[in-house]
Amino acid sequence: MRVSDSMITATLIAQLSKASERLFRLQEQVASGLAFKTPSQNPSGAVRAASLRSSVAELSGYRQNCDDALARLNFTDLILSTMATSLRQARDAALSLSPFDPVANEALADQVHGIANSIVGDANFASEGRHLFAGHETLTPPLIENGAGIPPYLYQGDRGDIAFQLGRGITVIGNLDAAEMLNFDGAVDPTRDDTLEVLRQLEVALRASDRQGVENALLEIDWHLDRVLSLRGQTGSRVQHVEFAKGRLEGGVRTLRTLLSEVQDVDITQAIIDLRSQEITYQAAAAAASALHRASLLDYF
Amino acid sequence: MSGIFGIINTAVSALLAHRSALNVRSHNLANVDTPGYSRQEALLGTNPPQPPAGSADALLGGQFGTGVRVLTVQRARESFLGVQSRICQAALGRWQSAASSLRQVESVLAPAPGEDLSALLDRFWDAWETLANRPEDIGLRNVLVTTASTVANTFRDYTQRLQSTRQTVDLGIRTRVDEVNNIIAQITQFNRQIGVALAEGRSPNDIYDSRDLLLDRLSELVGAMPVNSDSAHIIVYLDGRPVIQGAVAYPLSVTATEDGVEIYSGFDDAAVHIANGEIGGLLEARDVAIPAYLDELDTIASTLVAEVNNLHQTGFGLDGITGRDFFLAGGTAADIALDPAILADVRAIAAAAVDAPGDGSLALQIANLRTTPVVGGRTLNELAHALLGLVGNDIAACENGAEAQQFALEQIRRQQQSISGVSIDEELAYLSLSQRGYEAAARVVTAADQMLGVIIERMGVS
Repeated sequence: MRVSDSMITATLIAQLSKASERLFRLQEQVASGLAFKTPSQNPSGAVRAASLRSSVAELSGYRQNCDDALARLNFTDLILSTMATSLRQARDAALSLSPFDPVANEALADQVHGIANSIVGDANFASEGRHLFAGHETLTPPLIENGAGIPPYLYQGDRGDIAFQLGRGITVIGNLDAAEMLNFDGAVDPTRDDTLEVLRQLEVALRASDRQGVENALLEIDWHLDRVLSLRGQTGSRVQHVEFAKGRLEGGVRTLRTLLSEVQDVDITQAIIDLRSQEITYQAAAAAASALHRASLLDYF
Repeated sequence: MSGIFGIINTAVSALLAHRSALNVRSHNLANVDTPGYSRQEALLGTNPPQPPAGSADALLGGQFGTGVRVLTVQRARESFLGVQSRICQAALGRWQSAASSLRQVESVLAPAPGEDLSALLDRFWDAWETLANRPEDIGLRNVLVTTASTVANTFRDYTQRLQSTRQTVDLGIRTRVDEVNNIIAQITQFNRQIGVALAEGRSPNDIYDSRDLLLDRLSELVGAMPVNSDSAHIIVYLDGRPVIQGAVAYPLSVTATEDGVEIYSGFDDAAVHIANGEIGGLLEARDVAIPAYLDELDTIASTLVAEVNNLHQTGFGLDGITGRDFFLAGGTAADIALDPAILADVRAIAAAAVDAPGDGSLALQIANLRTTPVVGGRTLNELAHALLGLVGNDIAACENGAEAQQFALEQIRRQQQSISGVSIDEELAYLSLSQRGYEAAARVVTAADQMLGVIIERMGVS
């Protein structure tokens, strides 16, 4: 085939340009650590990477919900523990009834009154301006005084559940409301009074040194104490459930991130090896062309 | 005629012929790197012999040659390769111009991995999900409004920038149509000159070269090729209408419409559909590819507005009011915005499914639109991912097409250069041959002159 000078130059330019284009791409990859920067460089990879990122966001959201649920449940457990302690103290006070010492009984009655206030304070606990035990009516305290009436406190929250989403279609109820904890409005057992009413009855009985009244109240308090303890158990098992879910989610996020890295990150070792070999190709092409260029009849004429 | 004067004539014909041949070689050497130049060669042929056949003298003693002349200056060019290369250039022009326009779109929709529409939608869903856990929190409501505003702004921004890309494409089309009209005018001028030269019996090689270069560029621009490429009266059609008919030009005209510029023929003022060449590629980007992306964005935006609003209307704000929209109803990608009531007071955001401040279940439902199939069995996030794939695939297809055409074009060019390219070594070798021929002819003149001198000065002299 006849070879003209412009052919030699054109081929040289084409080869050098291709080699330097490949060098540039590899350089970009090594410097950024990404196998591709734009979707056009790898359309299916780009779609897969975007989809994985969305999945990571989804799972990370669920994981955050786990943390929120745990915080809530832990608060609840703390309050239930305090309430249980208070109820035990009330029990002790009831057992300490002394039929012959009205003054001591007055002191016990005052103690029971204080315990009742303390339980009200627990039930009305608010964190960052939200009442935790009022169902969905979180901006108002769940228990309000009923004037001087009977029962002494009314429940003005609702029975709403606050659900935390731990996965697609998977939720856990994270709240208890005061009605459930203290049997307001007969929420747990319609035949019984709420805890604070029982404590009032105990207080009245103590002040009156009414032995029978105190015994009746004691039976009721036992029921309420059992109730609080079983709620603690329920809360504990929910905590376990959430922690298990959280561990699973963390594993899921790690796996997804690994997959994402496989799709979009460049294998640095391979890229650097390719970079080196492209440099050599470039140099070889330039050297070969220069050899061809140097030989010319002009040197001999 | 024979005789010593005949000898001198023969030698003089050689001097002239070799001088012309040298002239052509020198022209080749001067144009060794001129783009589009085809090497030329002086074709030498013998002069008619004397005496002519059929005369009585011819029978006695035979015919004698009378020297050499230049028959023609021949141009080394393979026209079939020219046609092939124009076909490649038309396709290459189309792929390259489409790819470069669409890359502008890609830089808008996917500036970097993780900074695209689907990442933004994820942040939107995240904000609703966070609100669901603490729906009374004013700070979180503000965060949601900010995030939602960013989503709306981004849709509007994308739409605007894609529209402005279409306008940039229009500018490119106008520029190229101007260039086409210039080329057409020049080619018709060349055609005129070629016609005159051919009528005088000469081959206008350099004008052929210049015209071929322009025809290459014309093909690259609009994919129009001449029907009969090697004469003066070439005809070039575009979409069935002539743009060049010999020495007559029919330039294209452009009219602006609200959808972009339209191109009209200079022959019959009908609209011209250009499917190939750089203009074809630009038109495809402007009229097919970019509108498809805008449609997708519209689908995503309007579905987002509708689905969020549908749920939001069933919910209650912190003020106990229900039936409100979150986004302005009927929003599309070009005008999506938050409802003014929401912007005025974040308490209006309906996170609750019942009239109670602590319920965030509606916010959770809206957040779960993340995983809800809403269009053709696909979620909004999946639509956003698919849009990335669409843009990426379109550009990759153009780049692959361009690469294939580039490779084919290089092969063709190499063959063309093999035939038409100037080789310095070759020219130098032939140059020395012509030089020697010239020297030899001069020597013959000297010898004949000396022989004449013998006759004139020394014959019949005592």
